[in-house]
Amino acid sequence: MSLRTRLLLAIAGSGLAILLGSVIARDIAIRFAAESAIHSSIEGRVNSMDREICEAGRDFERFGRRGEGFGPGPRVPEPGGATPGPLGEPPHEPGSAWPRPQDGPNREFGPRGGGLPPGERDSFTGRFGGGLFGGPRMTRVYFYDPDFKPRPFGGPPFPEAAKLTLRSGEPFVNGRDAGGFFGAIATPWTGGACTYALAVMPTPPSFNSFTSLIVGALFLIGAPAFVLSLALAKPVARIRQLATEVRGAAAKRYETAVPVSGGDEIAELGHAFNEAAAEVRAHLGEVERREKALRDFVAHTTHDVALPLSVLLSHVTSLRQKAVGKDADQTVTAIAQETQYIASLLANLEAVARLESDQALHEKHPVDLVALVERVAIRHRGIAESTGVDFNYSVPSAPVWATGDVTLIEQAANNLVHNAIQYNQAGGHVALVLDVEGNQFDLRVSDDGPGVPEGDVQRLGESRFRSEEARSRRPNGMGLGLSIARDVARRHGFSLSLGNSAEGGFEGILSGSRRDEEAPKKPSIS
Amino acid sequence: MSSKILLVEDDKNLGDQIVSHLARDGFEVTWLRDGSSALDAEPKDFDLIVLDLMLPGAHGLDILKIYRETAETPVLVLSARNETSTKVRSLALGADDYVTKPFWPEELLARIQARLRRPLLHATDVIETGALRIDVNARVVENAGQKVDLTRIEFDLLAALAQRLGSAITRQSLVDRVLDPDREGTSRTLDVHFSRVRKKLGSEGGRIATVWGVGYRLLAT
Repeated sequence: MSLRTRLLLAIAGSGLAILLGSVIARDIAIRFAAESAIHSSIEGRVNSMDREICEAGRDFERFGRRGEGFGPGPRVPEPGGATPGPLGEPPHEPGSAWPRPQDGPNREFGPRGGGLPPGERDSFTGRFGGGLFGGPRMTRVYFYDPDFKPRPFGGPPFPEAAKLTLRSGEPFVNGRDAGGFFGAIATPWTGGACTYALAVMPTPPSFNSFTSLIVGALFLIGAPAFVLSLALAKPVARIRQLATEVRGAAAKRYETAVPVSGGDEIAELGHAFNEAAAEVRAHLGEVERREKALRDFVAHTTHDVALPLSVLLSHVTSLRQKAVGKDADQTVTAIAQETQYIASLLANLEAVARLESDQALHEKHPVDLVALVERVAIRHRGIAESTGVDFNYSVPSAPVWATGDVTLIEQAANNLVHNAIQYNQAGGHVALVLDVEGNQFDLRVSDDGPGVPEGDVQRLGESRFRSEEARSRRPNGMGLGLSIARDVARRHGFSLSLGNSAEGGFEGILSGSRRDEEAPKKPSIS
Repeated sequence: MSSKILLVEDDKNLGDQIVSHLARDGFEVTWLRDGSSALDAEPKDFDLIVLDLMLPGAHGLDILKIYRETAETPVLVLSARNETSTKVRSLALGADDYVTKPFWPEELLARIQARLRRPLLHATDVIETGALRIDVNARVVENAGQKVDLTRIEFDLLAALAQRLGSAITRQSLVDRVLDPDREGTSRTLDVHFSRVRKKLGSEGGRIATVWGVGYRLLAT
């Protein structure tokens, strides 16, 4: 969830809570106001009137003529026998405090009725709460005899709860029921038709409240949300910007610091990131330095070993040329094989160091595979000869160009050939063939040696894997060599298939696409 | 006349070995042990230069650059470190080839020989080898002066081998080049054709060798 959404939701939540609180508060306020209005109306009414006038209903006549809103009037012809509905229901419905167009003549009776003497009007109706939360509302006063029967001029049934309270001697009671707020007192005129007075104030229609709620909600939530999103727009944009900068810095291996502006928490975040990036940079630098030191060490060591090894190979050759007798020949052959093996290990060690570094990916040049195969063939010719393996190679008559790191491709081919010769025996055959077909080249090394157990074929080329049988025949070599070949193929986008050929021997095929280059002006690598 | 070779190598043991091996193979070798004396040498006086890169006095690549200003003498670089960039730079500066240490003396020898004889490798129309004389244009084969009667396919197969005398040629390329793949282009047919050629060539026929895993080769005499 985005920061903005989260904040807007928080505003909506707290807005709702505030709204709910204010609805409740309003309700309480209304209740208090209603109670006080009712109380003063009822008191005022009773105080402003004589018992006789009340019991005779003259007050009603006086007001009733001017508007029937004060009671059912002529429409309730049976005095006392009326069975008025519950509070707020028909007995006084036509004279509802809420002026409506269809009320006809009653319209003049209301808050703006105007005909009432000011003093009586206040005692007769109570106004409050107009304006924001609904219209004005009126209090009506009804009188009841000791049995809580309304005066003949009508009135709603007396609330049951209020009856008990008044009978118990309380001077005033108020409450709320379906019809609205009410208040009741015992008048000073006990025993007559005006023993009790009941004042009723209807509640406003509910839709009004609901509309208010919606308006209030929109205002309470919308306004702060709008203001807040205006205020948040810039910080959010800055956070986004910072995130983009951080990603950019990470992509560049934290080489650059992210730009930081301002002095707020976002700026602090930026500074914190820069500090962390500096740490990472230092760490990366240290790791790279160590890696380089290791690579340099390998490079220097291979260099240092390469020289005496060349001398050694040369001596071995001289020795082979001079060796007389079968035993001497065997010994020289063994020495030659082992030295060749050491040379190949050395080259593999270097190849691994190159493959592990990123260098191999950068150094790609045109490579003439014909020349490469010839070098590989020459390198292994002597050793094949001394082990009695018939080793042959074939290349097309024209150069075959590919793109890659010549050292690595050559080492991959060296490993395939070395492997084939090493695991073969006197009288066996090894062939190295470079073929082209369309845009593809195939560099194939095959032998008629024992091959590899079927179960092991899948695992060939895995790092440091060697099949059990091979291990017992000769130590070391195959696993590393083939895994380097596989790695080289992968890095170049070539494919390397390793497995047993149809004839039973082992076969490795390195394939890839040729470079569209017939003959460069100056062969970069030949 | 034996070829003159300039060897620039600072390591005594390796230099000794190279000199003795090259001398045994009939080369006349001049050996310089440091960069400054190599800079004074005249490259035009030699048929080929074997140049080590790590030298006291001057770097091999600088020497190479200076040699290339005046001479086209083939230069074979002894690359001490098996670095692709070094090889690429050497070739860019005008080296003709390189040999990576450690190497067998026969590797170095093969590269030197390849470099020295390279201009002779042009295809010719008439190939003479042993008792055989093959005129590619006239499509005539003579064995010890006697015309040999070969079919079109037999002649093409023999010519294909003779044109790359001593090299093994793959079955696939022979099939592609000579046989009609729709009618008779199988490896098996190839063997049948070659056995007929061998018979027709008599004693010279023995020079057509089967090469395991590859195909055929016409052995040089």
